[in-house]
Amino acid sequence: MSESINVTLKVWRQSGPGEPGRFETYPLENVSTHASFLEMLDILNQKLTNTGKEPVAFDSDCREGICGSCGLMVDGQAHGPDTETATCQLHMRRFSDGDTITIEPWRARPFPVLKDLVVDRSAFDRIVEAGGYNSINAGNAPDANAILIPKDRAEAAMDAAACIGCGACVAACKNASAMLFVSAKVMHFARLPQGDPERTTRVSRMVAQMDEEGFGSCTNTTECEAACPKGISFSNIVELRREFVRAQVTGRTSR
Amino acid sequence: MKGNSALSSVAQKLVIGISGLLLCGFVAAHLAGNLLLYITDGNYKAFNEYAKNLHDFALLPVIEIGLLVLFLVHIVLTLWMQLQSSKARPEGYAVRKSKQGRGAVAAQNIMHLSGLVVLAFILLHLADLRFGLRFNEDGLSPAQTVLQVLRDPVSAMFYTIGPLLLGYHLFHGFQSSFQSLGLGGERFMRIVKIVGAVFAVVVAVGFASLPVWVTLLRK
Ligand code: HEM
Ligand code: SF4
Ligand code: FES
Repeated sequence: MSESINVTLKVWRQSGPGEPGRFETYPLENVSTHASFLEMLDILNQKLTNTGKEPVAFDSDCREGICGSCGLMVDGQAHGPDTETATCQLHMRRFSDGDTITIEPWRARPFPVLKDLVVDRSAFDRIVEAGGYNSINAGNAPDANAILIPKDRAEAAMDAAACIGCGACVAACKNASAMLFVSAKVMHFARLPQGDPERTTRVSRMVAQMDEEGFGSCTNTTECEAACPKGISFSNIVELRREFVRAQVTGRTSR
Repeated sequence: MKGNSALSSVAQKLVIGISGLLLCGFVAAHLAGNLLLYITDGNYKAFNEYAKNLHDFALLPVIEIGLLVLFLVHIVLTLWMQLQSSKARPEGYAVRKSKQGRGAVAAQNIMHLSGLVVLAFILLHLADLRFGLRFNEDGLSPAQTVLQVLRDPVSAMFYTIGPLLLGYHLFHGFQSSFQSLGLGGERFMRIVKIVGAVFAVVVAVGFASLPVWVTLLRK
């Protein structure tokens, strides 16, 4: 296997929010197959800067798959071709010499493009602000095992809590639905005793805020689950619906 | 979908799921009745009696109105929902690739199109057999009326294509409606998916076989 490859990048360039954008094509030679995808973009930006051109804006922070800031649409797939992998964990060995790679920002009305490949994901923050927290006084950290939680329940809660808010579920969904994200945030609380007191209002408010932001409606295609870098299960969406019905019939909800 | 609509997106999907499942129940009952046509003994006695009993049933108008409402709810809500969802992505992607290996015409991607073809078929079907707009010879038995319609090339084509696309619609729709209702345990869903696939095939083959049988085999 060769150690370096030549690729052609087709990158979405857009100077600012609401501005018209276009694809620019950049040939990039001798890219190490050990480089991560973002390192490859760093190399591109170095070249652009050296020739007096504007570097490509893209988001990244941790570069170890835990912060959720690096999402890109790579060849039509959220976070690129690997499964359960964020863009920062994607490596150039996944590509072949001579490949053309198309790179686009997440596309959804609630995720407006700020510049090039960077989108504004604050819609997610507002959904979390609507109910993705505990506001009751839960006391000091309890002694281990003071509150007994069945292992499978604790694990299901932890699995849902693994969501890093990257937005790939929205980006990959044909409806631009945010249900996988919202269900992960709702269900990680709903499964634990600490989250129980606010179960009813939480789900109603978060769903209402999700709708308010203008995301599309889930039609159960499960494309979100396949795109999620953290393997958040689609079954969270089904459970959110149960949680929602429960909230409606037990009342006491405020929107 | 904007939060100012009367029902939240999750509630809308609940109603869609219920309407879809009830329509499935109607389709199953309708199919059972139609298949009686294959019993040709005594000049289609079985089918004719079934049709007569149905027409004489006092509550038939109530059922018909119920069905109309069901269809309207299903069609209006699903198309409204898809319209809203298409507004949620005003600018599309240049390249698109499913991580589940699904093509652009996979059942879940063309629910609105399969639904609209089914709707066209249902409208023709109602014009033919409910309102007798295209054929209205007097003195025919119910079975003879159906056979007359199925011998018409235009009807035969629609009565074949419509059910096939309805089957395709249900291939995604049946199992999807359970998830819309919040029912989706792992084992349960494995069973529902199998039942849904079998149901989809039975509906498609069951209905579509009739025009094929009448036009090609039963000369
Ligand atoms: C006998 C006729 C029909 C049956 C049995 C049927 C059944 C179903 C079922 C079970 C679902 C899934 C519901 C869910 O996911 O919760 C569905 C969805 C849908 N149906 Fe129908 N349907 C019928 C006719 C129609 C017609 C006439 C249209 C007209 C346009 C239509 C359009 C749709 C759409 C757009 C969806 C949404 C899809 C999605 O979730 O992606 N259907 N249908
Ligand atoms: S559910 Fe998965 S894809 Fe969606 S925001 Fe969370 S981590 Fe990203
Ligand atoms: S940069 Fe943090 S998840 Fe990729």
